[in-house]
Amino acid sequence: MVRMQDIDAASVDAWLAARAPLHTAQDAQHTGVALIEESGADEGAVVEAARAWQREWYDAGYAELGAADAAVVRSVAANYRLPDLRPLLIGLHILGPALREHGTAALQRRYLTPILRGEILACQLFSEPEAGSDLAGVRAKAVRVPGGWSVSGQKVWTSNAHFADVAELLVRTDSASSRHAGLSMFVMHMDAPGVDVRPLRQMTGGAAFNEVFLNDVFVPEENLIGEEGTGWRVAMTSLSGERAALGGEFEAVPPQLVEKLAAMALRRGRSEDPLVWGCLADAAVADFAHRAVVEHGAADPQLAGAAASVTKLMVTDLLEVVTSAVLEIGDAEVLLERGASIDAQWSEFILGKPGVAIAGGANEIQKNVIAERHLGLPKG
Amino acid sequence: MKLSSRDDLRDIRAALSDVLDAAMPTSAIRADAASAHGYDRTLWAELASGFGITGMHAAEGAEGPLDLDPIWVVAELLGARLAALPYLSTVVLGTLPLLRAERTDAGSEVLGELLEGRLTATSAEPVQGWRRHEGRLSGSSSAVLHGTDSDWILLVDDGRVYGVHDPAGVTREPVASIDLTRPTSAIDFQEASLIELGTLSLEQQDRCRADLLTYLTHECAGGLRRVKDMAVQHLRDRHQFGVPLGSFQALKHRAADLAVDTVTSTAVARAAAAAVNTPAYLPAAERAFLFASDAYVRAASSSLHMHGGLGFTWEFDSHLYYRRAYASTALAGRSSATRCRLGQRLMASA
Repeated sequence: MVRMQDIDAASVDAWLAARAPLHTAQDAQHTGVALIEESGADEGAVVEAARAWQREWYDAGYAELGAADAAVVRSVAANYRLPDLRPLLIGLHILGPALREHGTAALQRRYLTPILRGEILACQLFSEPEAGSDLAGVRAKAVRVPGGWSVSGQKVWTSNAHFADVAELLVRTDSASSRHAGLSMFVMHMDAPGVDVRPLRQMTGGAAFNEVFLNDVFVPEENLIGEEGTGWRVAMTSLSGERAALGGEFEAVPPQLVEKLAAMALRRGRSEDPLVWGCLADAAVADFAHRAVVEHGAADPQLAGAAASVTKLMVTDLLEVVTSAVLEIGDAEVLLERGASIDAQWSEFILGKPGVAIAGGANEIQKNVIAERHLGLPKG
Repeated sequence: MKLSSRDDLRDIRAALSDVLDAAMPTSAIRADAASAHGYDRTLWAELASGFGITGMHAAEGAEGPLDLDPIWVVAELLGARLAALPYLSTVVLGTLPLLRAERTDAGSEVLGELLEGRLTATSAEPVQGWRRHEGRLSGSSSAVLHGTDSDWILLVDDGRVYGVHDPAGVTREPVASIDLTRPTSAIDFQEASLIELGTLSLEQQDRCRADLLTYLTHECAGGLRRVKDMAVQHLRDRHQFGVPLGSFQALKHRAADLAVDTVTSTAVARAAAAAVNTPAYLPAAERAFLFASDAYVRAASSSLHMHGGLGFTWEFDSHLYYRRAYASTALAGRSSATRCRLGQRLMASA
């Protein structure tokens, strides 16, 4: 395992400079604004580019850092135009934290390092048709068979299932149990016999997520994460990793949104319009607030634990503010289908926005978490 | 450069909290506000001479390094308590422009007195009908913080910092504002004698503005935390329909919104403070202030509402915060103007 401490920004900068272009003002013209997936992008190529980037990143020692070093690396990396790393998110920030906190040494050796190195991509099999925000309603079940477990059930809203190598799988191992007790977490291979992945078409027109049907899928004993019956605790570790990643370091928002808005205003001859200035300022303030929470959200000792939920809520605020600016500056053009003109790319942003507010636990669930867990208000 | 360490700042925070909590229970806020000077002069003298509150940011004197971190700590504490002390006026509007200026001898002398806490100062900007003739000023300012009893009144014109000290030609009249906890006065200058204290480059003027915005952002964050705590406490204590108010999801979500605004305002304040020695200081401070001042208004209003009828009473403190929140949006000029300038600059750099 490669670990570094006290990273210096200059060496990170030199490393990045040799491998990636700096963001420039012109990027704003060239990088997309899609929130969920780039329609028309070659997904296979995106996945391969992400894997390749992560391998080098890991080998350079940047994939596993303490919080302080990670912050240094993040702030330097923000200056560079990196490949789309979204295919890595679930492995790095959902399954990864679960393995690190609850997995056996053997499990960590087998999966964690390859995940950190981009060799294994993961998906997350938590939600079910009858277990959405109320995740404790999971019904998919695992029964003991020689050497492991046999799993059956149906999962849904599974991003990346169609190219993932493994899944973090939440199932009921005690058929007599209900709710939070009796759940267990496994690492399951997606190419195991009995796994059936069917794409779900989203409102964006793309199919970044799927339904996954499990019919007597064999999962070996040693792939249990944590103890039998502790699946809920493992899931909580994964969910807080997901919340933090979606809200913050994983660039839940496309880069240079404010610059892109300004570029659009320039193209449309509106650079002298005070209405446009106001919109740009609002977007810049929301963008600054979102970044500040990512960077300093844990500064408040009483609410440090709520930082991940707060960050997610600030992302969705930012998307709303930017949408208002897009509509003011771009007028009806931004409502045309992508491809009709350069400004029509914003239609993908507008259509992707609801997905961000729902993914990773709907905003209302985040508010319940903040109120009950961090402000100490009554549960229920 | 020797600046405050995290431990130093923690010590300052703890010690000053103790002093303020002992000297300023919330009942005292109102008594102070209603007193002749609008604040507790004895407490101020103790904080200045005993605690050194007026000079912590220039611990090695006027020529030493400027260390703004202690100011931000004080800002959060005073903001949370609605303290009416002349800290913003003397330290932020008084000492910081002088510390950042090329000073005259008079300027250095005044600065020394302010840092020692022997004298107080404020800024009278903007002055309407400003006329300067042979070292004398005529004009008027309608709302000057601590304008009645500040020893020095500072003004910046064309890159020069002037001070008014001589009472001749200066008429000061207290004016009541929506904010009961910040004493304000109207000042009329009739051929008042101006003393040249120094010069400020445009760049330093920008930094002075960023200082004010960053100070106010921290004050807002402190006040926000307090209105959030008040509301959460009420949701736990107050029962209706046989259950605590905090059992109702509509109110839980309001409380969560208060927490989001508290965390985010604290974070933007930190982000502005982190930019102090960079060219991004003013842009960061503007963004931070626009966020936090808006959030404070939103939160003070929501927290008041969550207290029901109690929140609308004179006795309960909610309205003091509500008043302060609105007043804070105006202290750095109209927010809409700040917002417009920010957008214009973003456009110009596209």
